[in-house]
Amino acid sequence: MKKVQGNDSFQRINYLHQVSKYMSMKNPALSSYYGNLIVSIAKKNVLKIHPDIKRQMCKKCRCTLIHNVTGKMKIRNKNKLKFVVWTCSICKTERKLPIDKNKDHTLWVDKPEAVVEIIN
Amino acid sequence: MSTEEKTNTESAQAIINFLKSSVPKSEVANVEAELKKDFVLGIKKSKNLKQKARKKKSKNLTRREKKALGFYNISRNSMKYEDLLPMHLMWSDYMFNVLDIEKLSGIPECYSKGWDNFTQSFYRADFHGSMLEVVRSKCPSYVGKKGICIMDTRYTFKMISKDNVITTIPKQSSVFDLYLKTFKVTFFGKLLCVRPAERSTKKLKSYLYPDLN
Repeated sequence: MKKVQGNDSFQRINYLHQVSKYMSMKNPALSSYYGNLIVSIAKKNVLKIHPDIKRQMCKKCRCTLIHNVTGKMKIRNKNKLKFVVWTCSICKTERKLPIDKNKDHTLWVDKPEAVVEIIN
Repeated sequence: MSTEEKTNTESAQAIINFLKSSVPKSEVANVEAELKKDFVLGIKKSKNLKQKARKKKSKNLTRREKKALGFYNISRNSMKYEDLLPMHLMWSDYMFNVLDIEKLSGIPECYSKGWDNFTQSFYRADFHGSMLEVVRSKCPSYVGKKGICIMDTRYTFKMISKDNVITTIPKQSSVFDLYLKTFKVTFFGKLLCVRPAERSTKKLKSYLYPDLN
């Protein structure tokens, strides 16, 4: 059986993300502490954080965003293009993610040609 | 040298004469005054320097901003033990996955094959959400404290005990028991004195002599 490089760190990031998400309802400060840990683990081990995890974190304070709990989600138009705008309620940072019907905004990870090999 | 100077003054004079002849008559008097003008260098700053000096807006929160948002002071009674129980369950599932306990059928002994691998993965695992108990400590009042770990810093564990009190316990001089479903693991806190993010990249020695502490 082939081993994935940095598997234990990936597992750790996965676990910390779950904990951070759970904590954001109880104590946002701890949530952002776990978020910070995720980023620093990924930096130390030179790994990429999965975009789904990365997009759920606030860019600035790194706490997990949940609609109406730690952040607000809105759909806004700009130049006839649609964006999802996340506003963090702790540090008031905004983050825009494009979602337009007519354009292809699927992530590279989700595309079938991104999969090279499946281990396990 | 003298001949060179002579030629220099001669050529300078020639240039001045040429200017006087070619310039309109009203300007002839000004020619010598204009030639003696000083040019100050460096009074006007270039545009590039100005752009460099502009401060970059930082992406991350500064320490001061974090403090203002209250990220550092998790007060003594701000959390509840019941809120953290699901976190502990999540942790024990995660730990079972990481340590591969089902495959090994129990924790390996220190002379067996899997010991090296086990300690390595134990060292790299995460301790947020673990159930810890202080077995031995330099400070006797810490002994017997039991709780769920919520924060893991370089030299301390922060844990919340059953009576909803958050306590900070130094690792350096304590020995901990860790409860994992039906298993109990004892470890020296001294060996975990590394920042949690850096721990996964550092290598642990396979065998360490425990000190008297």
